[in-house]
Amino acid sequence: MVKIAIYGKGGIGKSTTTSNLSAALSIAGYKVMQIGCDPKSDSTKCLMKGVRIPTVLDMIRDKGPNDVELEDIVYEGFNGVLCVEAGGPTPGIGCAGRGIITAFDKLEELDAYEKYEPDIVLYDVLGDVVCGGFAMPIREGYADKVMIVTSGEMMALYAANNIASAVHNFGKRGYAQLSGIILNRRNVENELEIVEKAAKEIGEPVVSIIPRDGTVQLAEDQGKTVIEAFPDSQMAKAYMNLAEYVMEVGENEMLLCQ
Amino acid sequence: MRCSCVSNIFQTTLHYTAPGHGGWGVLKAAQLIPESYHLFISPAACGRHGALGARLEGRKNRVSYVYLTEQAIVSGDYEDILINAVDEMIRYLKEQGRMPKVFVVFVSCIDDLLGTDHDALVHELSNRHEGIRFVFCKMNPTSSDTSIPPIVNVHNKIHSVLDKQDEHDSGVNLIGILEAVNPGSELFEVLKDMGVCAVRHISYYNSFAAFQDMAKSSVNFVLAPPGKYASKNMQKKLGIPYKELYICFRMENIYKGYKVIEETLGKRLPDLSVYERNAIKEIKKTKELIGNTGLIVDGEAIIRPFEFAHMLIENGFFVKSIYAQRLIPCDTEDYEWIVNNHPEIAIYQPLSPSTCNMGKKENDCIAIGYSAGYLSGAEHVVDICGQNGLFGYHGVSCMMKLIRDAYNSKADLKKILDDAVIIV
Repeated sequence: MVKIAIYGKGGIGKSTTTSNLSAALSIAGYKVMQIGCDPKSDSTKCLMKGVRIPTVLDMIRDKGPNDVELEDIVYEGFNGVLCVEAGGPTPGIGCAGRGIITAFDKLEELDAYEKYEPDIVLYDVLGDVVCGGFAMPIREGYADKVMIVTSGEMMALYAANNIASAVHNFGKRGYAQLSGIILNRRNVENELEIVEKAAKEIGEPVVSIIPRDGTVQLAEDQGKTVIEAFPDSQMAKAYMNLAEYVMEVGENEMLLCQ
Repeated sequence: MRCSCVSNIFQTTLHYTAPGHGGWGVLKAAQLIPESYHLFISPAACGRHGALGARLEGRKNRVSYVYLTEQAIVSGDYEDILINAVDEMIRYLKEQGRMPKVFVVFVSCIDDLLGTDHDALVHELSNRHEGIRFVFCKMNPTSSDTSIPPIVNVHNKIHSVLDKQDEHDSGVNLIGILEAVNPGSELFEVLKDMGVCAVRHISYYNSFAAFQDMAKSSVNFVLAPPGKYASKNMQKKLGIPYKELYICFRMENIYKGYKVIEETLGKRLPDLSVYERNAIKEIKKTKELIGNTGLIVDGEAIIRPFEFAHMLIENGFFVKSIYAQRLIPCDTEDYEWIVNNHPEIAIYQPLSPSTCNMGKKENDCIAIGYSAGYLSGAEHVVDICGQNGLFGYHGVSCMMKLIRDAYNSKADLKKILDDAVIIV
């Protein structure tokens, strides 16, 4: 099993990229689990025909902490992708970071990974490593690798650099390691050059370039990923290429484990 | 069928902590680890209860406190403060010639919100201080309604420092109770007769090296539910299987428990009839003495209060009321029996604010436990808290003697609570 956390600035397209990546990996024959780690809890929507699934924290709230079962929180989406949403507190109240910890603890307590035995787990994590809760996905025992989604916009690159610093800082603790930058194009002028320059400074390669294309919006309007809605499109091909890179990372990681 | 008037009594609501409420706290429990030192990192007020208890029971030289400030919480300095405090404490202990074998760091609810990575800190502290085991324990009442409340967690932690052994002997461990089984219990004779080389409990050990003998045992008998989580983890880590052997008072249940031992050890049980006859004799003697005096059962004193009350009722005693904050699964059958067959028995939650208005009207009763004694106003109180090591037929006999003693004298409840170091 390989676990990868996808970080990046809010609104940069992490959930879209992660959902399409999950779908592409499932087409390639892998059993994938996608865990949304954002209080908005819309990470897996496009894998679930546009429907939001109940979150782990919703279920803890509704059923009580000791009565939640895996069937309440793990939903099978497109092509068998296992979808989980950690959830969060009421907006403006509570502690979102603690929410992530509670949701992860619940998944561990219920032996989610042992029961479903996914080949690949993708954590779709909110904007930045702002506190202990949002560092949880990169801790030892959770993600092995971190990928950062960015565009050529200044704020997205700034966030990418922040995330990379946090991952480097935690490196001595045996936390997850960076495994490349995904350029999700916004068609900024000289975008590839800008991102490649930033990537060089961060010390990670740009491993995938996702073009800006209206197909994504059309698919999302149908509540689907591009892989599901337009499997023969150029965009689907771009996501399949990203999936190939992830498979390579996964195989290397598994070889390392062996 | 449950009686509708009592089926929903186990509610989570405001808590009223009466002066009789208390018992083993997490610090006292963790201090059972031989040669251990303890450091709390928490807001100042969170340390009060444990500190007073440690002071009154002579355990204070094995615990220190780091008081957290707002600055430490918001700045990200928390982990550095913790590491520096441990360094400082170990330096001091080294100077004093009191190097611990195990260093326990207690964190509070604040830590839950900060999301501290305890595994990473244990790794770092272990690298800095070779030869000392580091354990993180939680004093976080916010986890009380989860599957791992603080006391369950501490049972697990105190046994987590045991190391896997290459070979197991015929010894057995007793898990789930913090006070050892009374040495007069027939349990020891029975187990010896069945070829058990040693009966082990954490409280028997003064040295950390000797404590490791518990990892040699071939089975864990779980005497109370708080030990089940620890036993599951010991099974995974140490390869010691476990069996539930929850403490009980009814003759048929005690016998069933011994049959569990027989099945687990694969050895024939010795004749238990003499122990049973003694217990029955004590029950009769007590009934003759106290007659129809009302008994008030306290769930803080007895692990399975409804099972205990069932035993009293079937032996002709007059059970007037039962104090139980919650219903534990292994007591459900007896709870339902009481509700269905004796709906006249009042059931109270001792931590409910409504107990403030009860008026202490049960003067002529015998309360079995401190909270029941305080809240009911009973003039006779059995001095028992947290089961006090009562087990098996001998446990029944001891309990009967305690009831007779309580009947024969009026209780000085304040003195009882002071002696038991019950801190409010």
